[in-house]
Formats: sequence, structure tokens, C-alpha cells
Amino acid sequence: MKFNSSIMVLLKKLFILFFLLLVIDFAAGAVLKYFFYRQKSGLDYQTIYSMKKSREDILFFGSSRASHHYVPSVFSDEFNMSAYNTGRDGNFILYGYSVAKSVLARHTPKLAVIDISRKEFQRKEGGYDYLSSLLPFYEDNNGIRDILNQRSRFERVKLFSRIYPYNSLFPVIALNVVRDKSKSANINGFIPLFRSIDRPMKTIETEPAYELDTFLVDAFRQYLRAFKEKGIPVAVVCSPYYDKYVMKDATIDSVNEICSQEAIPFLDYSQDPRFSGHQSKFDDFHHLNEEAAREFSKVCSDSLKKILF
Amino acid sequence: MLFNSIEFVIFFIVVTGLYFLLNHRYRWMLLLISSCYFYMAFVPVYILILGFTIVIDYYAGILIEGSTGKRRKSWLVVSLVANIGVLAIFKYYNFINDNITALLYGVGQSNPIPYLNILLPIGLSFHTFQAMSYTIEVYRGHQKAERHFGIYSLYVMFYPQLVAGPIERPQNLLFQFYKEHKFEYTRVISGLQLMLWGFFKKLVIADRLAVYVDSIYNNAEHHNGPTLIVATIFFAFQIYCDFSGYSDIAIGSAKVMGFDLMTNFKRPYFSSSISEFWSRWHISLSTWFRDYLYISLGGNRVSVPRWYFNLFIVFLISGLWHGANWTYIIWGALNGLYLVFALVRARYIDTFFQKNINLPSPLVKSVNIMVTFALICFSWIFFRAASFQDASLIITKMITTGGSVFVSNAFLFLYCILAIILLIGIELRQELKGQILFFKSDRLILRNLSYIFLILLILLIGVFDGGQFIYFQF
Repeated sequence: MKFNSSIMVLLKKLFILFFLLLVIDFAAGAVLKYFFYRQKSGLDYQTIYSMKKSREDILFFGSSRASHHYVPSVFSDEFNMSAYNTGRDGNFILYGYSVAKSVLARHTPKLAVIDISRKEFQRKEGGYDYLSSLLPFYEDNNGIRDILNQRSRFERVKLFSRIYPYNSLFPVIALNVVRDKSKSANINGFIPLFRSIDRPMKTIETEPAYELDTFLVDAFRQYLRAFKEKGIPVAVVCSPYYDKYVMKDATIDSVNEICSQEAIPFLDYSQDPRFSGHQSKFDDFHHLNEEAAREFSKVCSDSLKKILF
Repeated sequence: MLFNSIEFVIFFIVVTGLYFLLNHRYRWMLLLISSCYFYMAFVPVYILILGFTIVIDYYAGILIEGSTGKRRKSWLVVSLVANIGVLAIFKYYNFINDNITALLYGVGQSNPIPYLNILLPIGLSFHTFQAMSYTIEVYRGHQKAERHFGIYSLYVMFYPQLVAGPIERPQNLLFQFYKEHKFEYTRVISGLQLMLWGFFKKLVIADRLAVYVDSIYNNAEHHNGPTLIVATIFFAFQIYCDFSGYSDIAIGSAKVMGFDLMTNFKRPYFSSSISEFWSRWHISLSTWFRDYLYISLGGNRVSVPRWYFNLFIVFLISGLWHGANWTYIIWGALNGLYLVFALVRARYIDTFFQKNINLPSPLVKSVNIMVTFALICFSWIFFRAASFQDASLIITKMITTGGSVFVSNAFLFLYCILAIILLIGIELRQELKGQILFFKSDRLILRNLSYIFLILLILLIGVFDGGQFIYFQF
């Protein structure tokens, strides 16, 4: 086989393979997308609901600490408004901001509560990996594309594939399509935890200093402004931690500074003696259990009512 | 630049395309420039270290060839000292210093030697060993000294195997840079097939298993024995797929351009003895140690106790090669002990069994494969654990604690199990039929279905946010 003809044969075969792959990718991606939006329970269902359907008056944003700490029914009783918790395990500020952007494009809530964690603005290798939970929304949601493109330099290229946004989700989707919503622990987005902790409180004297990720800091400011521009009352809260931290945290300092510049209330319960150090109130070092979450929700809603209304 | 990145895919397409477009006379330049770019994508300044050893070894080769007697030997020593010196500074200095500090602390003294705040250049042990094999082979008269500085640099820096092997020998690689590689359809296909299989092993199996293994090994104190045993078995497959996946991509990408690199793995977990395992695992390193250390120590042409000692010391040093940590040294020593014990067993126990007990050979082979796998898994505990204390804790917990296996994410666990089953199935077919899936089938449809199956699995369950290859740190 001569050089040119063998290259042509290779290119032709690669082209056929590529075309076949493209067709299969497109078809499999379409099937996955169809079933993705037909999930009846699970974390993705919660994200779909938060981004596309939530119409509640009070919305909570944040990570697992939001999801396990804010009981919507307690806030509903306090404010006489409907409430939903959009927090999601392992998802941080950019996730909350993306959800908020999607919500604000179609709905105006009456109150927004953003839960923030220590070290949330820390610059980390692979720090945006968690945004994979939002990849299925990339195609239909222009507003979050610039955030999702932060995942990697070639995110746009990867997203040419229709399967890629649903990477690793196939069995999850299959299960949540058939699983009954009533069997889920999720109550308006709040996921209760039931254990208590079995070691005494630690006093953490020092922690290594870390670099703030300026993209995250800027995103946080934009996040707050998105609510302000629509005239929606918003509060930032740092919910309780089990251990005692002696050192100040750079993220919390930054949040404090931005909130005061933007005239937004910041409630720091991270070291609140009503919660911190109480073994019976924590499921693990970072998460309150169900009973304590109700107590915290009451404390927090009382304060917010006084400050905002 | 990581093989498992879009950057590499673009880099590979561009370099390979240009390679076949260029006249043979200029190809070495393209490969050298692209290899520099590939290496500098990690930490650019470390190319200076590579440059330093390249210059030393290039001139050492010429000087060794041009001299005789003690002078010849002294040039070899210069080369070895330069290479081992670089390794000592960048890889072992802080380890040795830490141990001196610990010793001095024990006698109430402080260590005045400062700690060096340096990063280990990626793949240092690999290209240093490849460079050393060149000067040793020139010294032994098996290889002519390379006069073309660019070609010699390329021998050390050839991008497919620069950062994690296979560790090549000059007799196998140098002449290939002079050979005009024409575009060969079958060779290109076979290279691309190997790359695809490598990507599959890395993205679908190794990185998926890593999620579970890391979550358990990084919190070993919170987990029970069965969980730690499962995590260790998963790690055995993770490290195999991680490293052999890298080797396959390296060998495949070189093959596309017409280069033959040495085989580095031959399905090692089908080994029925430890010695067989080491003839199937990281072959380029095992044979390096055999050719340049074991044989230099006298190999097996010495007294039996000395033979055992030679084996043990080679594995001990192989452990140290992997990393400056006691865990690697223990891992090496353990494998050395396994081999010595296997020799003793073969000499006394096996002979007795063969004479007196007649067991069906498939049964014996199966048991041997499982025992070998169990022994290798035990040694992996030291390889994976962050410290000797962690490894001890893990072993203690494996023996003393029971309970159910920790599964935080049922789907992840299911993926891990299915990935291992799939790997064993595919490799068993490869072992018996000599081909991955239907890669060598005469039927176009079967070949294409095999490609599509692997690519779809990569897209569906591959880990795209996975990190580096484990062996990069060595």
C-alpha cells in the first residue's frame, strides 16, 4: 500500500468510526437526557427542581451544610411563607450561584438564605470538579455556561459529546426514574441526619494559611448582587461547627467584608455555644443532626425576622 | 502534560501529523522539540536538570568509548555519580535528612543540616535510569557512543516514555531514530488500538477504583478489616490499570510513529508465582535491575546464600527506587523475601510434593495464582499507605476487626466491581487468544464494535477529572 493511499484508507476508516460514534453519542445522550429529567427522587431530581421548578417564597442555597441544617417547615411557620432548600452535598458556592441564576431568571423569591462554609473560597486543585452535577444543564442554560467553563480549559470541547454531561449517571438515573419520591428522606430539599457524635470537642488552635480563589470571591459578590438587583432580601449565614476554631478563617473574613460593603446581613453561628461542642447535636463534625437542625432553623429564622422584616 | 488530557490528544495529533509530513532528515528535531514542550508542560525549569545529565552522559559516552582501562571506568563513574547525584539531591536528600534528624533527636541532639524545599522533577527515576543504561552499555562495549547530540537527547527525552517509561535500552531505541519510518497502516492501527486500551484502563478502571481506595486509605483509622481488605484488592487493580494504562498509551503512541518500545506488562495478575509476577510486571525496570545490578552482584553464579542475598538486595533497592519512604523500602524487601522463600520452596518443598502428591495441575495453578495475588496485595499495603504507622494500623485492623464492607456510594462500589470483572474477562481473552476484545478480528464490524464499546464506556463512566498517573511521582 502506498503512503498516500494508506493514509486515505486510515482517514476514511477513522471518519466512519467517528461518524458512527457521533450518531451513537447523539442517540445515547438524547436517551439519557430524556430520563434525566424524568427522575422522581435523588439529588439530581432536587437540582432539577431547584433550577427549573422551584417557586417557593424562601430559598436556601449552599452545600451539604445548607441541605442538612435548614428545615424549610420551620421557616415556613415563622414567616408564613413557602420554603425550599436547594443545598446539595459536596457542592459549594459556584453551584449555589448557578442555581440562583437559574431561579432568578424565572422567579422572584421573597427571601434568600445563603449558607457559607469555612475555607469555601480556598484555591484548590480540582476545586471546580463538583460542578459536574450541573453539566446536564449546560446545553439549555446560557446563564451558567461561563461558570461551568471554569471546570477545565477544554470543557467546551468535552461538551461536544452528548453523553459526557451524564457521565457516571446512568445507573443513578435508572434508579431514580423508578424509585418512588415518597421513599426519599428529602423534605422540601432538607435531608435530615440522625446520628450523634462520639468524640469530645477539639480546640483547633492553628490551621495552615491558604490562598483565596479570586474567581470565587468575585462570584460571591455577583451572587449577592443578583438578589439585590431584584430587590430580594438576602442573608448570608455560617451555620454551626462542632469543633472550636481559635484562628479566624480567611473565607469568613472575606464574606464579612463583602457583606458589609454590600449592606447584606451576615450571621455567624459557626462557634455558637448553643450548638458547638454538643455531642448530641451533631451527626459529624460539620453537620447538625435533625433535632439540632430544627433548633438551629428556629434560632436562625427568629434572627432573620428581626433583621430583615 | 498528562496523557489523560485533551491537551495530550491535540498534541499527539499535531505531532504525529507533522512527523509524517516532514522529511525524515528533520524528524528528530520535531520529536526533540515536542518532547521538550511535553516535559516543560509540568515544571518548565526542571528541563535544566534533564539538560545537565544529558550533557554529562553524552560526553561520558564518547569519552568511555575513546579510552581504556581505569580511565574508561572513571568516565563511567563520572556519569553514574552525576545521575545518582541528581537522584540523591532531588529524591533522597530530604528522606535521608529526616532520618538523621530522627536519629539525632533520639540522642538529644538537633540536626544542623537544612531541609531542602524542592519538588521532585516528574519521572526523574525513569529518565535517569534510561540515561545510566546508555553509559553502562557503552562501557560494556554493547553500544557505540552516540555522536549526534540531538539524537542522544532524544533517546533520553522521547516524549512517549519520558516520564514513566518503559525504561528503554540504547540498543533497542537509539537506532530507531535513524531509521526512516514510513506510514504503515497496520502499525498505526495497532498503535491506536493500544492507546485506546490504555485510556480505557486509566479512565474507566484505575481512576474509578481510586475514588474508593483513596476514601478508605486516607481514613484508615475509621474503617474495619473487611473494608480495608476490599480497598487493598481494589488498589491492586488500580495501580495495575494506572501504570499499565500509561505504558500502553506510551507504547501505542510511539508505535503510531513507527517506534517499537519494549513491553512493560504482560497481565501480571495471572502469574502463578512471585518470580513469574516480576517477569510480567514493570518488565523494563525488572530487567534493568537484572542487567545492571543483579548480574553485577554475581547473579545466581555464586553460593546459594549469596544468591539469595543478591535477590533480596536488588528488590530492596527497587523499593527505594520507587520512593524515598520506608514504606517503599519495606515493599521492596517484602518482595525480595517472597522471592527468596519461593526459591527455598522450589528447592525443598515443591520437590517433595512433586514426588509424593499428585494434584491436578489446573487446580494447583489456580491456587498458585490466588496465593501469588494475595501475597502481592499484602505488599501493596505498604506501597499505598502514607507511612509505616498507617500500614501497621491497616494490617492490624485487617486481622483484628470484622464487620461489613463500608459502602458510602453503592453505585461507585458497583462500578468498581464491574470494572474489575470486565478487566479480568478482557485480559483472560487476551491471555488465551492474544487479542483485546476483537481488535484483531477479520470482521470489520467486530473490530468497530470493540472500539465503540470501549469509547462509549469511557464517555459513560470514565473519570475525566482524575489526577496524575501514580508512577509520575517516581
